Amino acid sequence: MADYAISYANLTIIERNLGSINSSIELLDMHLEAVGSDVARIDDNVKTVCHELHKLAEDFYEFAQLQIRANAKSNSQQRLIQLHQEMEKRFGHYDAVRRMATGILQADDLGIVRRDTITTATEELMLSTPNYWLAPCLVTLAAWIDDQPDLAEKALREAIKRDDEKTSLFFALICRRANRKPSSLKWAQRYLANQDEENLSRETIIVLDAFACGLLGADTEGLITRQLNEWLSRLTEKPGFTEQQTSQWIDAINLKRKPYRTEDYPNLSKYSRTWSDLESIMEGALLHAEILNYFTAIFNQEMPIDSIKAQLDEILNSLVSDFDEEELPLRKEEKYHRLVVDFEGNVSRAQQHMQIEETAFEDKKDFTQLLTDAAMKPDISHASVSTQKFAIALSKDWISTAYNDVVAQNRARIPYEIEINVDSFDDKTTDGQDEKEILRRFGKKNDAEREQALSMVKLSGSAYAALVIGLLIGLFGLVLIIFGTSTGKFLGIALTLVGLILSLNFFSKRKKVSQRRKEITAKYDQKRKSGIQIIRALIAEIVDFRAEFAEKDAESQKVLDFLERIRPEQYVRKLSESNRKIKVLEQGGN
Amino acid sequence: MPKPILNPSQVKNLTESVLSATPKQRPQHMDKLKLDRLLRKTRSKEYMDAIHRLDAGGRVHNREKAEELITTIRNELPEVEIEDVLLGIVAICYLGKPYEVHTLDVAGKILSHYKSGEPLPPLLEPARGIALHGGYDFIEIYVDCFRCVSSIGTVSVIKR
Repeated sequence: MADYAISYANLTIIERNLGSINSSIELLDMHLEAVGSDVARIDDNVKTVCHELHKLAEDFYEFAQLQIRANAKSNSQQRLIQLHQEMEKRFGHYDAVRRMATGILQADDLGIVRRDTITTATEELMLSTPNYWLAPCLVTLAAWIDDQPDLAEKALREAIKRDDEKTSLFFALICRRANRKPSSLKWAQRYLANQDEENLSRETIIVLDAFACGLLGADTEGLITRQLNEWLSRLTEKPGFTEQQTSQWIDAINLKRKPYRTEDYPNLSKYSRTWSDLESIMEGALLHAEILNYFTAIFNQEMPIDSIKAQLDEILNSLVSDFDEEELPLRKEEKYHRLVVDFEGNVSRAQQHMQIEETAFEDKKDFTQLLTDAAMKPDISHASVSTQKFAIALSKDWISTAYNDVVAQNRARIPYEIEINVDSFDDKTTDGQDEKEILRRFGKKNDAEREQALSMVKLSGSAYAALVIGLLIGLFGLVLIIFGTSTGKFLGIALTLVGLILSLNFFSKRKKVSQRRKEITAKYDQKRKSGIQIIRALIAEIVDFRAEFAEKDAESQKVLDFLERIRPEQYVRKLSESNRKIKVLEQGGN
Repeated sequence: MPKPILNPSQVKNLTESVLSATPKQRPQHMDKLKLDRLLRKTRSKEYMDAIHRLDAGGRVHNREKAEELITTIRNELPEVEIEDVLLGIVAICYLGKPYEVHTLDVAGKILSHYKSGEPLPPLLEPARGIALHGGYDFIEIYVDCFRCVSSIGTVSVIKR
C-alpha cells in the first residue's frame, strides 16, 4: 500500500514538476529569444523608418523647393510682361524721339530729306514729349541744319534746362560727328567741369567709350586725359581707396564663379564629409580658367572697323536710349526678374547676383567703380569692347591685387585633412600616404565591432541552467534505474528522459548560436572587404583631387601673367608706382 | 611636442606667448588704412632670404636667429610697430620628414619645427593648411588677417 502510494504520488508530482520546469524554461527561453528578435526587428524597423523619413523629408524639401522656384519663375515672367507694358506705356513714345536723333543726322548726311520736313517732325516731337530732354535737342539740331540760329539757341537753352549733362554730351558728340572739333571740345569741357570723380553720372561711360574708341579729336582727348588723370590721382590719395578698389574687384571677379558639378569623384562625394569644402575650393580653382577666357575673349575681339560716323551714331544711340533716370527703377526691376528667370526661380541666387550688379544701376558712382562696371558688367553698364579693354588696362594693378586675394581666400579653405567616413568608420588623411595605417585602423575597428556583435550572440544563462538541471535529473534517473526498486526504476527512466530532453534542447540552441555567429563573422568579413575597397578608391580619389586642384589652381598664375602682359601703352601709360597716367593713341584716319 | 630649437623650457613660451598675445589691447600707433597699405607692400629680397634661411641645410637655430629674423622684419617695415600687429609666421619646413612646418612666434621670440599631425599653437594652426597647400613661401599671421607672401614677395590678404 505504502509502495503504491509513494510510487504513485512521487512519480506524478515529480514528473509534473519536472515537465513544468522544463516547459517554463523553454517558454522563458522562447520568450527571451522572441524579445531579442523583436528588439532587433524593431531596431531595424526604426532604422528603416528613420532612413525613409529622412529620404521623404529630403524629397519633400526638394519638391517644395522646386515648387517655390517654379512659382518664383512664373511670377517673375508675369512681372516682366507687366514691366515691359509699363515701360512701353510710360516711355514708349520716347522711342520715336530716340530713333529720330540718328535719323536726322543720317538724313542730313545723305541730303534726301527736306529741311522743312525735319523741322516739322522735331516740332511735333517737342509737342508730344513734354519734359523730355532730347526733344528740344532735336529741335536745336533741326534749327541748326535749317540755319535758324535764334530758334537753335532758344531750344538749346530749354534742353540745358531739362538736362544739362546729357545735352552737353549730346552736342559734344554731334559736333565731333560734324567734325567741329573746337565746339566738341567746349561741350566736353562743359560736361566734365560738372563732374565729381566720386559722384559721376552713369553716362560718363559715354565719354570713356568715345575716348577708348579714339573717336574724340586730339584736343578733346588731351582734355579728357588730363581730367581722368586728375580723378585717378585724387582717388588714389584718398584713404581706403586701394582697399575699396580691391573689394570691388573681388566681388566682380567672384561673379564669374560657376557651380562645380562632377561625376569624377563618386567615392569622395559619398564617403567624405569634407566634400562640400572640396567642391567649393574646386569651384574657386575653376574660376581661373573662366576669368582667363573672359579677359582673353575681350582682348581678342577686333576693334570695330565701322566709320567714325557709324561709331558715333552708335554711341549717340546709347546715350539717348540707355541712360534716362526715369526708366532706371523699372530697368533695375526688369534685370532682377530676368535673373530670377535665368536662374530657374532661384531667388536667393538672383538677389545675390543683383546685389553685386546693383552698382551698374546706381545714379552716381565713383570713377573707379565706373571702370569696374565697364570691365566686368558691360551689358548693363553699356560699355563697348574698347571701353572694356581700356578699363581693364587702366585697372590692371588693382585687378592683380584683388585676384591675388581671391586666390588666397580660396586656398585658405583647402582642408589640411580630408575626412573618410565609411559606414561607422571615421578617419582622415592629408594626402593618402598613410593608407596602410588607415586600413589597419579600419580593420581594427571592424574587428572590434565584430567582437561586440558576436558577444551579443551567446547562450543565455538559463540555457546553461537547463543543461545542468537536465544532467542532474538524468544522472539521478540513472541512479534510480541502477539502484532503485521497480517503481524507482520506472521513475528513473522518466527522469532520464526529461534530462535527455533538456540536454538535447541545449545542444540544439548551441547549434543555432554557432550558426548565427558564423553569419555575423561572414557579414563583418564582407564589410571589411568592401570597406577596404572603398577606402582604397577613396584615397586614390583624394590623391587625384589634390593633383587636379593643384593643376587648376596653378592656372591663377596664367591670369596674373595675362594681366601683366597687357601693355598699358595700348591705352594707358604708367609712369611710376603710385601715379598712373593715360597715354593718348591717335585714331587712324578721319 | 615641437622639436625644440632653443632649450625645452622655452618651448612652453611659444604656446603661452601666442595664446596670451594681446595686441588688440595695445594702443594703435597708426591709422588702420595706412597700416594695411604698408603691410601690402611687396616684400624685399633680403626679407625673403632671411625666411628661407630658417631651415637651410638643417642649421640649428637659436635665440639670436629668432631675434635676427625679427630685426629683419622690423627693417622691412620700419614704419610699423611689428610686435603690436604680427603674431607669427608659418612656413613649410624643409628639414625633411617627419617635420612639416616651422613657425616664428614674434612675441615669444622663438622658432619651432612641427611634425606632421602635431598641433600648432591655436592662433597659428588655421594657417597650416594654406602654408602647406597654398603654394606661398610663407604666411604672416596678424590679428585680423593672414598675409600670404609669394616667392616674388607679393602679398595676398585673407581676412579672418
